Amino acid sequence: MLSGYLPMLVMLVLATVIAGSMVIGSFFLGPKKPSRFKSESYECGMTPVGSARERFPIKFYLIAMLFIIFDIETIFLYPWAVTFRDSVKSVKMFYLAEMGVFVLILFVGYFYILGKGALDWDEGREPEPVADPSIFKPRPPIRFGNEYSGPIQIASKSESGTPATSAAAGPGKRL
Amino acid sequence: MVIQNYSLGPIDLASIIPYVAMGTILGFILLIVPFVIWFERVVIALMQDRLGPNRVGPRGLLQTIADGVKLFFKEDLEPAAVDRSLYYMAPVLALIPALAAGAALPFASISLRMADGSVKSLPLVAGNVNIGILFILALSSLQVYGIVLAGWASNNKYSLLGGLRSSAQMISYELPMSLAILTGILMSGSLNLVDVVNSQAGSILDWNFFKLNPATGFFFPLGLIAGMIYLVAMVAETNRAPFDLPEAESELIAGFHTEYSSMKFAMFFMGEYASMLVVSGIATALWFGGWHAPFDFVLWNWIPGGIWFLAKLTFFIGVYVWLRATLPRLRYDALMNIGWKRLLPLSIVVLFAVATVDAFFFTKDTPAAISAPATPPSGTLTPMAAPGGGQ
Repeated sequence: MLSGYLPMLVMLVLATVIAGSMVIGSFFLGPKKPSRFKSESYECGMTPVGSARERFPIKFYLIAMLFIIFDIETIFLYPWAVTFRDSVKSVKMFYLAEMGVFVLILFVGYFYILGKGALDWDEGREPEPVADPSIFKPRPPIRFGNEYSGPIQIASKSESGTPATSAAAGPGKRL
Repeated sequence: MVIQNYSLGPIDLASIIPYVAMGTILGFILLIVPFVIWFERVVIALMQDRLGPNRVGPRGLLQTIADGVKLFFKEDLEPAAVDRSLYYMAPVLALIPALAAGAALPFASISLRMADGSVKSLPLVAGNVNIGILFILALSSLQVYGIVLAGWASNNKYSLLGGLRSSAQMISYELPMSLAILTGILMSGSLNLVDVVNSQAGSILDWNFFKLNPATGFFFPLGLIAGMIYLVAMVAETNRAPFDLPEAESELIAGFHTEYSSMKFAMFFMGEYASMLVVSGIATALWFGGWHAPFDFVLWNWIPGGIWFLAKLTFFIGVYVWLRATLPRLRYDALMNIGWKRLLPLSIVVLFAVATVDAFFFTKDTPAAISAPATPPSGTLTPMAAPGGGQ
């Protein structure tokens, strides 16, 4: 029976050899011209700031822990599913009730973490600060004498009728 | 087509079939990946109304191979800040499971005439073992190590974020994926994918995805729901659009492989496409009847099973490309919500619905009725083992 696993083992070894030879091959085949700027961490061309060994959200740990719990549940269901198929009706009913209880208990936990907000990726966010409306006020146009330096106005528009702002002295008089 | 079981001393054809299958799968994955990439680029170019690769070889067919050769001879950069051993180990760890997971995937069956004149149908699979699907699941779980280690070892903020996102995404979607697979297992009654495929012999309505309920006569779309869950989880599991958050190039440069250059970058790329092929193969074997033709039709039954398998595989690769060209990327909290709050409860409910339907409508009271093999269709050969028989 175990001989059936031999080709799988051979395949695993072959995959390892292929993957390993690719890394080793590219290590030796490519040119090696290191420089200070090449060996910097890539941060969009800027000078790297600090290290990447930073704190990151605890949510990722939480997801990993929850995954282990539910993955174990799934693993328990595998032998159940295989033996379920080969049983007679009365045994199947018993299996169904048994696993129903098992999943029910797990679902209690599931709804608990759901209620606690462990799966909400938004809940840790601070409420948006109430913006000081003054910072959104448009900047008054800077005037140099008679000229206007605000956004460029389309000449034809101001020619066609009313000028957008009274500050614009005329279509041809912009900087 | 029946092949004589040639023998050479103690070794006959039947005993080397697993090794032939192993070589076929490994060779197929390694050789077909460049063409899958070419296919994707051409199809996306068509969908976006532009030309796509058209310089190297006929219709740009050799473009990816040229890229691969070029990458092999590129400088193997190693940033000063990296964790050296893990940095070199990560691409290897990402590629091995993708290549080796095909070991338990049956892709065709051939018939041999044995020495005593009897015809025996053998599946082309490297490991015809009774835990096949568990092996595949275990290896696809191992793939997350390559990615999280790449993100960590690069010592780059983008890599770290990409690696974390990717690992959280992969383990989140593994739950609905394994529960959906479990539903398929429940419908077929075996962990061996060969038995699963053989239990779907017949027409399209015998496939787990479209299975009709013979007891009540009306359509129970439970296999359909579980199959759809699997298809969604399969896309998320391989980090493909619209679930390609780890490589969201507009926010994370290239995610976990930002710092990788040369062939090591290509290995992540290859690993992604290889695992696409493997999960599509599982979808084919588990939900879409493996190498069986969609209808029990004389001409179609003459087409070798491997061709059918390949056609279904191509269909799924096409779906992958279609999704990438159509759907925008999800936001991260939406991604996690779909996985944990929608797919996970839904897949458990579907699993129990299938078990309940099975217990109430499918079961005979005597155990003898269960182990009877499914009647083979007229044109095909007898299945190798009775589905749901020996565990």
